Amino acid sequence: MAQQPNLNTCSDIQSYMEEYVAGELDSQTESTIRSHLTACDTCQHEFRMAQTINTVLDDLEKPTSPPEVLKEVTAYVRANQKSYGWFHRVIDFSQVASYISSPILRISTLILIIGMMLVGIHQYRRYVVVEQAKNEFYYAMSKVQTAVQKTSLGVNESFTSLNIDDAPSRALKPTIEISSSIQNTFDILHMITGSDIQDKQDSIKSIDQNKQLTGDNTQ
Amino acid sequence: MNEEEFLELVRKHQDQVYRHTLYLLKNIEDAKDMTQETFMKAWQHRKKLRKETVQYWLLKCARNLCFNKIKRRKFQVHLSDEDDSVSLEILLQEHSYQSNPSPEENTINQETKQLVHQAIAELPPDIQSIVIMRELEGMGYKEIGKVVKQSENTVKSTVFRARKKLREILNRLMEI
Repeated sequence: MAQQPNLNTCSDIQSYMEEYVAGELDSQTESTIRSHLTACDTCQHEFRMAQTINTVLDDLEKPTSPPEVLKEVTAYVRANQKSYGWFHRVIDFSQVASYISSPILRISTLILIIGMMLVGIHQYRRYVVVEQAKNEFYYAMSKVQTAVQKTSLGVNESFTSLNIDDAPSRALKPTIEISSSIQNTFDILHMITGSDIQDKQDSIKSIDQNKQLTGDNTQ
Repeated sequence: MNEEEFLELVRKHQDQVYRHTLYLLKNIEDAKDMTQETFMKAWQHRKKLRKETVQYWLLKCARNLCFNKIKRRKFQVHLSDEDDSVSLEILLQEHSYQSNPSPEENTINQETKQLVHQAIAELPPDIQSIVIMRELEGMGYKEIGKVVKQSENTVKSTVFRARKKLREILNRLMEI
């Protein structure tokens, strides 16, 4: 059995006025309100107001659609026989937002779009750093090659016995700096990609060997 | 759904959609535009429409289009201080749909009727839409629930809360 509502005060009675006017209350509640209304002027006033609203709402005008609506829609239908494809849906994406009635859904969609944009920006920046590191590495490698070639030339051909000691140190100074720069590049690449850089590490080993060899020659 | 079936559907539902948009927007031209746009969208999405649920789909679409229009209008009004909506009473007189007054209507004077219309216009658009579906179209709570994606009980309580709110607004308007 349904629990009887609390109808002790005028406010309680008035809170059930609409249901009373619409005849949607159980017989006991209805009779309590009816007997209260006979004795209370304030609630009687509220009852009359509720009745007035009920009458006006029951009697709202019912305008019909103007003929041009059907005419326009018919013209549109005849001119647009193709079904709505995916391309149009993408173009019409801005309208989709109007169908998302829930504010939570709207916020979630917005967060998702912003999240996707941030991930995209992060990936792009990562790509730029990797590309930069690669370029630096190739540049440094070319410098090393040139320096090694110059050094071997100096050792083998250009320098006399008097200044041969100076030649490798001049040549090796930039070579050592570049070597550490390459090592840094490897570290950055390894940190970012964690991918295979073994072949490049092999090449730095060969540079170190060359350096040692040149050092031995100078001694 | 072919062209002829679709146009039959338009003939069947156009009055209901038009009334809904007119009561929400209170502007004949805007109501016509929104009704046309609703059916144009229905034609674009005709593949997914089913005859049993098309009424709910149309009302939902019309309602959303009207809400967007109201939002845009508020923004425009904010910028220009001009509102193109008129009172429901004047609008319905313009429409010349006034029928012979019923016995109940005679008991309520025009001023009170106008105040009730004014009170309806003061309700938030989503509540107005539910009141229109219930009071103007005589739709059941369950049917309205399918349009607004709410349970039958929620719709019922919204309808009664709206009526209470109308009573409060009417009391206030009568005091002025």
